[in-house]
Amino acid sequence: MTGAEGPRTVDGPLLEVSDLEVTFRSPDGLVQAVRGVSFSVSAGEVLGIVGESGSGKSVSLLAVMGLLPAGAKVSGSIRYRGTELVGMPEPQRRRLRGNDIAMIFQDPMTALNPVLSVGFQIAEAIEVHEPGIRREAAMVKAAEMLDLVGIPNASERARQFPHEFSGGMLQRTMIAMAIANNPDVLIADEPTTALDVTIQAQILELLERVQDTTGSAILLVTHDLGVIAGMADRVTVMYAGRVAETGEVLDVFGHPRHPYTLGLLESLPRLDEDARSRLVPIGGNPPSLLHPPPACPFHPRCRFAELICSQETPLLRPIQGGHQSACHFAERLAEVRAS
Amino acid sequence: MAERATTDEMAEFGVEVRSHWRLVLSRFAHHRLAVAAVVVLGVLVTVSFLGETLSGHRYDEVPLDADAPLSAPPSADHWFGTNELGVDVFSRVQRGAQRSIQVGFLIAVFATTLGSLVGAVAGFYRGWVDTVLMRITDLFLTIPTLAVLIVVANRFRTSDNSWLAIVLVISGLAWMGVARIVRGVALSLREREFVEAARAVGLPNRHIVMRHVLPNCLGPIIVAGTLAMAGGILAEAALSFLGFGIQPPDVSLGGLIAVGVPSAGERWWLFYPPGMFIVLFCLAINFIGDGLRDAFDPQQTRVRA
Repeated sequence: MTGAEGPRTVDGPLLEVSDLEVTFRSPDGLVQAVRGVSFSVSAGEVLGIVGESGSGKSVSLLAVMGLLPAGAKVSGSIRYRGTELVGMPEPQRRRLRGNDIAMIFQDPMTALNPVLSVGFQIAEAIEVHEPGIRREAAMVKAAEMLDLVGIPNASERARQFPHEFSGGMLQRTMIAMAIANNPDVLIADEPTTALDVTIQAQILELLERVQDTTGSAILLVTHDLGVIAGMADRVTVMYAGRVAETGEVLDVFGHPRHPYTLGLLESLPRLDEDARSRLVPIGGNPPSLLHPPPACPFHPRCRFAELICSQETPLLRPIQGGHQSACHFAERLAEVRAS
Repeated sequence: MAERATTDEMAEFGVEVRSHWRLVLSRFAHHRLAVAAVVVLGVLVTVSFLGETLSGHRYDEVPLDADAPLSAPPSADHWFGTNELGVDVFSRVQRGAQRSIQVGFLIAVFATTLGSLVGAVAGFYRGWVDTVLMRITDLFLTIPTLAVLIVVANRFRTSDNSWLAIVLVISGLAWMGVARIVRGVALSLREREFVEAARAVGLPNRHIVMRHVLPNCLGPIIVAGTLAMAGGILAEAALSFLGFGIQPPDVSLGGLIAVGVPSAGERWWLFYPPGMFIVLFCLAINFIGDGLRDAFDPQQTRVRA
């Protein structure tokens, strides 16, 4: 599927986000939704982003898409193939959207227009980036896309409306729409959250297949650590608008170097442990982004916290290879884990 | 091949649309008053447009023979009697009703189109666009409709297509309600995820307004359109009643009533038939609008029942 636009050799990451900050004005003051986040994805790579609600995952993604509401203030840098996206004029930005960077939404039931046929909506996405294409040709291509994502009877199905599709089929449709223009970067915002567990596996499989065939970079945002473990190459754990820990999935999940990641892992049931052992929740509540805790944002909930945690902001620092953690006691966590 | 695909698409599309509209239709069918209104309206429209075939007289035909009945009460030949020139009143009412329907329909189309566009754009873009458009809407709402109508209609009084000018002027003063309704719907639609998804695909804003926001406003638009039609008929009647609307030799219901008023006591057949037509028209259309509203918004029906 690649190769339509000539050579696609890329040196370094396709998408590079550095020191991204997003601030919203609210009646109660400034909400610092994202406070200096950096990540990058290369072609053919899956970067997982985890974090609880309000950790800034979705806002970061929307910033990459350029879909933040007008009131949001974005600073830092988002580079796509070396081109700076922050501050890029909207018409140019719009041409990138859907064509080079596409997005799969969380809830397919609400992300499709109820009064337009499914095929028409995909065709529309094709037409807008391929001016001059005939409606019929676009519809044919839309049916092909539906077929590609595993919808049986695609050309008939293309004429149906969203309410005639099941949730899984709708999410397939969303994926078809997202990949219709061969994007280099695919952003999936909790693509399986709204689906049945059985369907989740199918959708993830489809995403993997899509990536294999297109070689695009995928940004996968989810609450589900299992999904990350199964699909992602690298993972970035976000907390309170910051990156807590990042690295190869095996490193991060196998040897967490941030108490928050540790907490997340401990709160999951495991197959290889005694079924009667209790899950350990992370105490406390997610911080308010209106008044984030000073220094390390996790310290009020951290069982390893010491005085320094409330006084000095821990910077994201390398631990080993690409594994980075923003914890003063990252090294000590290794011992805790071992004991 | 391409052509076949389109016809297939059309057929298939028709099936889909019907399945969506069938729901609306079945709910509408349960609204007895609305169904009755449809029947009444159907009869009125048919009667009006049959014209001479039904009445056997021309609306502008002044009988020249000496024994033609002048100011005669209703009879088998002249169902609504004749006026002081001996012209058949029934055929005049028919002609007036035709005009009223045309005027009402065109006003409904123009006013709802304009109102929908203004409302959708204002609601979708928000910000200064919204502010400007809505202040203009407010401004138009403060304009005393009848006064402006009279002034403007007076200017076009002598032109041949004065009735078209009247349609445009009434439309220009009747779109505000629709605009406000559609703006409200658009304001809530713009926050829906499918609009964000459309943006994520790279669709330009005007495209999103036309293809994603407006079609989703269709229910309220149709309802507002029906009501605008009734309003339009009344406005035209009022204008013609005052003598600024449709000019003789053309006939309109409002004009007929105006002629009938002085003699409403003795020669009641000049006054009541056109009056009844207007009342029936507007009642029927309003009931239909009511039924449509309930059909498009089943929740409201439940609350009412």
